[in-house]
Amino acid sequence: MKILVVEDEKELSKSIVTYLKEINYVCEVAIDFDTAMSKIQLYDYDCILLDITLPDGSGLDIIRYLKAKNKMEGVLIISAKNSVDDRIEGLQLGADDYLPKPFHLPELSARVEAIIRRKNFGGNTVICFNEISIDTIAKVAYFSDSPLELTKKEYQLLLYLIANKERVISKNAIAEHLWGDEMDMANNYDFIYTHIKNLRKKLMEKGTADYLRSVYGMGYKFTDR
Amino acid sequence: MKLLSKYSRVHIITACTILLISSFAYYFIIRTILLKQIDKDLKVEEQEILDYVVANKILPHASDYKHQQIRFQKIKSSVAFRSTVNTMEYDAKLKEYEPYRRLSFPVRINNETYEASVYKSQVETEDLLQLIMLITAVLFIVLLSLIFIINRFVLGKLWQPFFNTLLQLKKFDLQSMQPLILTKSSIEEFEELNRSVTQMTDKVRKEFEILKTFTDNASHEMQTPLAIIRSKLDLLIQSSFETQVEQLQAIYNATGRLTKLNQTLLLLAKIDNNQYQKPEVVSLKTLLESKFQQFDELIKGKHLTLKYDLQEVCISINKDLVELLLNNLLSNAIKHNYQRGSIECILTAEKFLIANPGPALSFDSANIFDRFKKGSNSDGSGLGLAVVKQICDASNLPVSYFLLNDKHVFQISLAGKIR
Repeated sequence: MKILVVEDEKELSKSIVTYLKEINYVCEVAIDFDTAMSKIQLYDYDCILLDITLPDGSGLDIIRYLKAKNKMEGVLIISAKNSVDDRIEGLQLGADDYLPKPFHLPELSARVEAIIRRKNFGGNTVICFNEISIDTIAKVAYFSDSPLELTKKEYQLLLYLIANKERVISKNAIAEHLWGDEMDMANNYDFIYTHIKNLRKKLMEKGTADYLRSVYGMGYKFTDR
Repeated sequence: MKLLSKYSRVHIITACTILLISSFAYYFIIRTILLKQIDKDLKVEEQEILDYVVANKILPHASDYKHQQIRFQKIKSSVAFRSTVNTMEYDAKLKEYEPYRRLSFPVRINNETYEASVYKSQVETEDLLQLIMLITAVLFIVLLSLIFIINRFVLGKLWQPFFNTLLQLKKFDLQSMQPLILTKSSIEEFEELNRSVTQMTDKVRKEFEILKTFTDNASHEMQTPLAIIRSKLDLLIQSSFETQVEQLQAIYNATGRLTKLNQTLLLLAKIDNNQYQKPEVVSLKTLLESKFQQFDELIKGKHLTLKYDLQEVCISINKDLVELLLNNLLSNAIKHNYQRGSIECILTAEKFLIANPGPALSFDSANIFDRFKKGSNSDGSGLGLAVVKQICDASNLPVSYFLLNDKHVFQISLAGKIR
């Protein structure tokens, strides 16, 4: 999977690239409008992470160009502006998703994964992790073809963990993913633990290995290693 | 006291005093003049009597005409004084005492001294005085009414520009960004007032705008560094050692708080800038029920009892804003609650109430909606209720806080917004 990161903040793009590379994405970086345009004209990408405010142009123009050329790239806007208008304009122009800064990297990768999955029409809408498979259209998770009885939150959690497999995900990132940032519960993450515990229990009851590891004090990790 | 009534009062009191003093003075002056006139007549009569005595060596007949009587009386003393006095005389015809002016003077005939008294009725004088006083009184009343009317209407009209300016000032709203429009006045003082007020409000608006832009920009600019910190943390935990975990988690939490704070400031700026306009018809009941669902884990996590009584109420409001509003009120009720406490929600066509028991406020409840106002034990941003207030203000929903039976109650009045 090839991803273009258009972001003028070098440190941020470096973090994004480091994180995404670990999940086996191929990443390229463009730090300004011109570089981004020339890269888009030369190569095809599966997904473009696009900052709207670039030093020499607007990210919205890049989306317009993509749509004019009928390019199939998925576009995820990452913007510091987070204004309703920008979001609406971006999505109306044809961007696939909008992620306001500051975001958690696991959130970003989950969104990228979702975009790529959706863009792959007719392709694979099923995500697999060893014997666990998730039908993202029916929103059902299976363990070796037998469906897992998961609640909505547990399903979302599993999807999120698998999209960030082998990575440590902080409790903060999980809380934000599951409940959004509007629920200002000020670092009270006890309720995450309940969901993790239940999900792990349900997986283990079906006979999976203990993939869901708790990383001391920090968060959780979905891994078979 | 109102300017007009104060002015009227001073005016009327002054007018009354002057009129009273002047009418007394008027009365006495006219009375003196009239008495002088009578005295003159009496003197003429005296002269006639004296002339008659000199010519005829006898006393004239005592006479009693209407309004004039002449009497003679023999007196023993050879010394008699000439005197003029006011007396009351019995009028046989009218059967009552009438005021008279009497002039007494000695008349000598053949070594005998008589005291001649000429009486002149003052009835006419009194009548005249009464008439004059009546006219004065009427004038008095007319004058007072005129002063009253002038004060009431003319002054009211004169001061109209002032009241217009005052009204505009009262309506002046920084949020709306509307410049103050004052009606022109032909009166220099009011025109000057208007100029100063316009200048001042323009300045205030400009400063406010600058402040708002600053908050807006500062918050925007902070997003990127925050994003960098967050992304670095997300990377750092991939390879952290257990010894660093606590520090990392602390940084995570602090970054989270900073992010939340920043986003809330941005949100406030956005509501300020009226970026949430499009109202739509929202069913509060449905929305609340979905919020209860959303907050279910948090409510259960604290073992809270949720009691609610919701009527079907639809209001016209921006959906994003009303969601934020309910989010903030609910998380507030959960956060500042006791373990195993309760939350009560009541929704009627008139109002929405949310009540929860909780520790007493450590600050004056009048400041509860102020930005960054929070209890000493709260780890929130101190902006949640400020957002509530701002949303309510922007949507014309009066919101209030009060303590009832040891419960913190937030009440939003829905009257006027019902669809």
